[in-house]
Amino acid sequence: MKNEQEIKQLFQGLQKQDQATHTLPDFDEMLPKNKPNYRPWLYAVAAVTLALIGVFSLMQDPVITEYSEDFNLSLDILETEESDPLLADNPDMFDWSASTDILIQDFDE
Amino acid sequence: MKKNQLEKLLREHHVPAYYWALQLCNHQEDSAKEVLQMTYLKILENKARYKEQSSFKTWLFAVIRFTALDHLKVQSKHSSLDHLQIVDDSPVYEPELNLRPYLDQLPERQKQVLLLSFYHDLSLSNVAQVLEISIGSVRTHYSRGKEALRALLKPIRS
Repeated sequence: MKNEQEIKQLFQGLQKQDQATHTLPDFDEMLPKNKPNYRPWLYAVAAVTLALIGVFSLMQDPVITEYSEDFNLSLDILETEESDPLLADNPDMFDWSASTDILIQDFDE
Repeated sequence: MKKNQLEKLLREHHVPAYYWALQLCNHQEDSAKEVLQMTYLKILENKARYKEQSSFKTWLFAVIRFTALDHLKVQSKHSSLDHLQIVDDSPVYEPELNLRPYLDQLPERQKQVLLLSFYHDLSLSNVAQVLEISIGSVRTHYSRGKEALRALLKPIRS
């Protein structure tokens, strides 16, 4: 090979070989085919199904739960004498003494 | 770019695109068609976007190359594109010297650089963009590829 022109000629020969041995696919065949659009049908089927379920459920009698016995729930506050002494009724103010009174007592008395 | 503009450009470059896909797929027509279909799908569905930073042909060839690499990886997980065994089952074209067997003996990079340069008429800078390598590497592969091809053809031509 003397120069690049010679290589170029060899590659041109290769192009001819390719054209002779390979069938060029049609461009339009290579393009992505439009897929059938199932979505509108799916939406329609889903909507009709939901509507039928709704109508069917409305047509059925409502189920009423019957109770054989009445019952009452009452909440009372139970008062006992053993409850917290702080809740004692009407503590006398004069009877009250602080628990720390002892600290201020005069021990000389 | 609008879909009809892209389609028009793809139509214009369909022939070289097919032969590039064929070369990347070791001349297996079915694989080349699949690669090209996937490439067109990617482009028309905007999964690969042409940003007009290079010529359309250069960009298209790069997308084809990526798609072919992915396709061949899926087809043959244990062999990469650089180490694929060449399967040549096409009829032999006699009138001129059949360059392909000699070209197939070259390292993959050298072969691709020579194909893009001489077969597809891309400039070396465009070859660098398609193969995503530096222009320096392209020049190296280009000159080594020519030397190797010359050595392979020497016994026949002398």
